[in-house]
Amino acid sequence: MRTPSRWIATSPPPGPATWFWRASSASAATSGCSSPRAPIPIWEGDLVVAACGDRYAADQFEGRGEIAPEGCDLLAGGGLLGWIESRHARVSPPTRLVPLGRPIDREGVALSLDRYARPRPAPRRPAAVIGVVGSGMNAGKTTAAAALIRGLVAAGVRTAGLKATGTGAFGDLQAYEAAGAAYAADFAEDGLASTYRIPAPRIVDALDALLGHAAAEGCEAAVVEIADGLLQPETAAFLAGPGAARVGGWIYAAGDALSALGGLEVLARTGIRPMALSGLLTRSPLAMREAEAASGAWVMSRDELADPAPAAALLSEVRALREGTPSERAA
Amino acid sequence: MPRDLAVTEDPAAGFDLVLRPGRGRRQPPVWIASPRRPATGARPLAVIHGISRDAGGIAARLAPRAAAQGRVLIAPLFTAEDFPRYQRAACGRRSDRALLTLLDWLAAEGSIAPGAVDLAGYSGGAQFAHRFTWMHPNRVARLTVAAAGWWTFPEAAPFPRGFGPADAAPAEAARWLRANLRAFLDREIAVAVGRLDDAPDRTTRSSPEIDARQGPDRLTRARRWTLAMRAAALRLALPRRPTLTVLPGCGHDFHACADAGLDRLILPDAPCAAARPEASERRTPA
Repeated sequence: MRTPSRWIATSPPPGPATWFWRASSASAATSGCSSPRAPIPIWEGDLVVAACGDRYAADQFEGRGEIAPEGCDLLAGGGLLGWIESRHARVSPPTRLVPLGRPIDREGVALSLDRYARPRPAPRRPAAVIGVVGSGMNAGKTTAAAALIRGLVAAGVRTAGLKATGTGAFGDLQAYEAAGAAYAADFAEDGLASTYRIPAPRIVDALDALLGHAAAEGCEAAVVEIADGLLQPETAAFLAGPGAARVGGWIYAAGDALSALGGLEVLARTGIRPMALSGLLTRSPLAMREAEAASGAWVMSRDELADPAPAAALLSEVRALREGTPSERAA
Repeated sequence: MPRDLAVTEDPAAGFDLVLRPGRGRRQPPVWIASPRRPATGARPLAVIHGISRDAGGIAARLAPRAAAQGRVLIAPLFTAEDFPRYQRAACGRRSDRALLTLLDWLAAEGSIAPGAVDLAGYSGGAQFAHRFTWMHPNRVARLTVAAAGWWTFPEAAPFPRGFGPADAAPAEAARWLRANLRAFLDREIAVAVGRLDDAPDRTTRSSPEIDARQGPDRLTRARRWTLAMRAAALRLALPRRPTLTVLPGCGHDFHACADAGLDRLILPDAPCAAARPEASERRTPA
């Protein structure tokens, strides 16, 4: 049985601690922690620097960002350490790591991720902020977000791709950049390795920083992805709290028609009525028709989100909602 | 890749005019008139031909004035084979997407400045231009539309008569236009038509619905569309209103209209100036 390490418990620095590790067993997991742009395989005996943090991934691991003297698990390929609390039956055991020590700076102070947060920007936001939420992990949120970024960029709108919650990783940001985002970042930019079990105000604070950076980069629009599903605690708190007020309009990504319908009901409890449905269900024309018939919502495939005409229309809807100005429908 | 075909090599012309071959059905051929003395920060101008598809003639007519302002002019050619109904923009082969692809390509290779362009269209080109701008308002800074055969009105009639659902367009095109109305109207829009373009001809589209709402001829239709769009701008509390200019002494002829002042509407002396004084209808000086 693992026990939380006293090394952390005695005097933890603020923010996710970073550690030197040696891989004691390597599974199929890969890590992006040695490369800023591409995941690479880890071999037994490799030296790794990674951050501690909690992980919430229904299709992979749930884990706690604590360590034991004998080692811990690599909870996410982005470079997240902790020990596993539960694991999806389909997923192989994680890479095991043995601690070597903590990296320190010239003054001997242990490093932590929040020391590398970008300086706080002026409190500004892009004129239009569109959120993407989903029914769960792998519901197609990142695909929908990247497609919408693509459509907005093609519509002539300088756009940021942001991830407000989840686990720090490069894949999503690379998808945003490949779609043409002028600025792509997640909460790690504000010093968080993961947002699981992080208090809601801190998550909103990090999102404000990301939106400020996006505005400073000249972005007129930001697409903000919220990780995991509507029932995930931080996502639910975000949607029910002040975080949702940062977002002018929503896209809801669902895996199938029934989860689309259920998700719309869950969102309705927080007063959110998405502008459109998208996600994995749009790979099936039949499921699209089902969802459309059952919900009456606009169901948008990846290609439609990437089309500049509907993307511009979504932007116009968000602006109208934000400004509270009369739209033609109301006129 | 096919090479550009140089057309103008006259050193006194002030510009170089080339025809760039297309790149399949996604990107049409384009006439490009590049000023020899480009002005810094001058917006490119894209001009769309009518159903005679005389993109080269339009480019040649407007190129000297564009060059005098240091502006790049492009005139894409929507061929009948690849874009038989290009005027509708959202239908069939999506001529709107083809123009976007072309603009992005030209910006990427440095032929035009990135960002929004000024857009103008005559006859069928005006049909395309106003629908394109309505669908992609962020891509167009200033719009000049002259002598359209018929128009898309801000009302629930099926597209392209209105922004209601229609079989001839993507299912959600109506929603795009409805959502974008404010953004579309929030820019300078100049409408023009020849004073003598006041009788239907063999190319004037006619149906009981179109004639009843829009009128029998292009002059009436331009007046009614301008009024409808001005009313919509008023409802939306927008400060700008589209203007209508009736060009004296000319009928449905691009070159005659250009001589009568359309060239100055498309390429005003101060191209980036603030919106002109509002007028529901203006006449250019003879």
